[in-house]
Amino acid sequence: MDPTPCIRLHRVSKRFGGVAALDDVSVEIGRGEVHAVVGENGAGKSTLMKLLAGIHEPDEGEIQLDGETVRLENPREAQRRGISIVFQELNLFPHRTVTANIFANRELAGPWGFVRGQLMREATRRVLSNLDANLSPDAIVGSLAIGERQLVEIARALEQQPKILILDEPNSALNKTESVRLFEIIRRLRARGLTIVYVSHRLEEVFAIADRITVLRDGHYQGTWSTVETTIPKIIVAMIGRRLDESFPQRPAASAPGAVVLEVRALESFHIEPISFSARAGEIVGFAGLEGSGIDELFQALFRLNPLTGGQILVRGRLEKGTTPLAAIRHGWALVPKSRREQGLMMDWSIDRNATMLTLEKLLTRLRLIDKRAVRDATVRCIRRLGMSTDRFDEKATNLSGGNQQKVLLAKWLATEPSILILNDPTRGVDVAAKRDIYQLCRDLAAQGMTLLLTSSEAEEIVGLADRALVLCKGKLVCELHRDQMTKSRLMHAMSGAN
Amino acid sequence: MRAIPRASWRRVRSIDEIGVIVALLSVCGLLWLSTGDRFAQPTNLLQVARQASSYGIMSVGMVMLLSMGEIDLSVGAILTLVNIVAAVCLREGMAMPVAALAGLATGAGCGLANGLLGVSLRIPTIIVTLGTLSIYRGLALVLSKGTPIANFSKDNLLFDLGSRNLAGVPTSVWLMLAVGACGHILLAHTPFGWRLQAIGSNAQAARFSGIPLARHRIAAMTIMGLVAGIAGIMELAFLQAASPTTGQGYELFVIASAIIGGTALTGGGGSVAGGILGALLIAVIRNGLVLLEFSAYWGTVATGVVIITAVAIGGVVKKQ
Repeated sequence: MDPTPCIRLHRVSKRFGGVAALDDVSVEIGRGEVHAVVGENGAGKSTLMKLLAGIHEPDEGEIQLDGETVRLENPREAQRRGISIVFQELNLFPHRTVTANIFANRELAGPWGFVRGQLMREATRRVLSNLDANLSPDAIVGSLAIGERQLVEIARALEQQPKILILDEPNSALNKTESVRLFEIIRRLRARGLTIVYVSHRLEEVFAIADRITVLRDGHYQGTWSTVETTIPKIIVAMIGRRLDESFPQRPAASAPGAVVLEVRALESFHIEPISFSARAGEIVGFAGLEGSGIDELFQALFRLNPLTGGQILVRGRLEKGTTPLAAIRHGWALVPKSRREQGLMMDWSIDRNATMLTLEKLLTRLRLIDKRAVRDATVRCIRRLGMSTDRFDEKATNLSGGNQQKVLLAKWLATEPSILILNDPTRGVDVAAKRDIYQLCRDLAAQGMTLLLTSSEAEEIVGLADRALVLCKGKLVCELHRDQMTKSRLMHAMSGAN
Repeated sequence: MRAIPRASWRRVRSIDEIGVIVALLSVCGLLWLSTGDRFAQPTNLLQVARQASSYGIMSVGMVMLLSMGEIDLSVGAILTLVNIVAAVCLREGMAMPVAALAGLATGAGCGLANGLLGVSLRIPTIIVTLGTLSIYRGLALVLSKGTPIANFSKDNLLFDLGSRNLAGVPTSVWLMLAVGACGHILLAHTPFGWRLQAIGSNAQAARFSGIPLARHRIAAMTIMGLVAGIAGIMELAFLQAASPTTGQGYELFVIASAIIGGTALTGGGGSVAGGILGALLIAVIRNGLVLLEFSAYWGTVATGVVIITAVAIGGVVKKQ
């Protein structure tokens, strides 16, 4: 390897208000390597990437590219120096075409100032075919699947012919197949000599793709390891500063099965073929499937967000007649949705307002006005239960880490004291410690007799938590696995639709 | 500035209405300096407050709508229609309470119609009310045949109150404060108000939380219509006559009052008090220009300048 590192961050610090997001961090990234940066939420990964992208400048320390000290005062300067970044949040224009997105703000124009559509379309086709992406340059981005949108983002970054490509949690929204495809693309780009900085939560994938791994914790540098010389447990210890002996909480000793709480008979809805199943009190039923399996739609139909086109839902033997989410909530249903930013929380609202918004009726004064003190007390109660570490209940949700946002969302729904709790990917984009808290919470809730319907983008979670798994593929229930038959490979096999 | 502790300065900055308060104080200060007692004397100040009352009352409804991410362009036209309907009722010999109630019902009905149209036809409110603006104003012209209506008995409580002061303050100012207090309590202290704000903050999450969006939208539009109806009856009582040109262009001042007061167009929260302060600011400026003997035409220009300035002050103070 070339002795001069491609990127050298030397003793950089960055403060926001009184909080040090990065404190005296030095990292060297070699030319042509895939370098992963890992850490819990709030560790400083995103801040570090924003320094490289020219969005923030360091308060102290310096950045060197190929041995030359540079000031990346704005994103344009970073781009000029060959750095392209694909952000965690998709930054696309959903109403515009793929081409328009890739060339946004860099439109090619002819001598008269008119855009050269054909030229841009050709260039788009070229860069997409380099990625093996089977997308039309004229497709409207909003109509694409999440994985395809991610490809458009990467294509946009690559079209700028960068020397350094930064991927900030590129796969948090991708399913397994899409992730595998992303890795192929990364390997191919590395073979072409690109330096890739890869920020991720998913350690297993980091180990599959990265040459070296740098760990940050609370804004401090913890070390850099060559992937072949370290292990996942070692990296986890570096990330959280203590040892996690086992990821999933111990299963309780087998006890007598609870009473049947939920019975679904030949339920039909959008993208779902008639499906029947039942669930008992205290049971965690896992739902496994790839993107497009119909699990999202099934959950939304159960919660009456989507209308049923056929079939029946029975709770404790009684037919559910309500057709609105409000009716479902009143009958003890709760749905923790997949996307906490879009479907879950009011991001510009405080913690206490979010946590109590479903139970305001119980927090009124005699004059039927909202009792602010009761709101505060209720928040304290439900937040404690989730082991969340904050006393700033007026903090806006948007300022919280992903893990704490998820806990607020869970608190909001648990406050309704549901008997059937639907969890759609409850650990998405959440740090390791918070994941563990959520696993434990699931177990505790089941032990209290709640019925949990759970799906996850990580198959391990279904294997580790569920008492039973229903596998869906393209809107159809394809098989049911009991806890002693369940292994990750078996689940993956069934999910892919192979028989 | 050193005397003020950091924390309380931050508290001041976090007030939603900071922009309008700063603007109102500075405009009042300037007018006081340049016109002396003429501006500051109580009769003039009360006159200003009275002039603000129509916009102020309607801004209460507008703040609610904006905080749920909706807007109503037909408020001025509703005011006109209510004004005319009540006057026609009086002219036809109906009792005053009946005529007033008919006016209020017309206002609420117009709002309800706005809401129902938007929900059932799935049209954004801004477009529905762009249409109904024309419809309601047209109906007012039809009913009045295009001429002012004043030939009815004014010998009753309504017109008595309309032209009088209570405890030295014009009745319409009391009414504005009363409607404002109700609106503030409804928006900031009831589950209904919080749900409106929830919808404005994140409509999809609100739907996932089981909040019936359509019902809330219709309710908020109806409240807006009712509030415009109150303003319409009040104008009738003060002017002692109805005219199909009253209320023309009010929608812009009402929306401006709400925005000057720190309510964001994007929804998620709003300040009723700010809306009323915004209406006061607009009235103060118009008054000041008269006192300074500018032409009324410049008043319109100055109003626009102040709208932009007040919103900018709010933004700058908060960003610091």
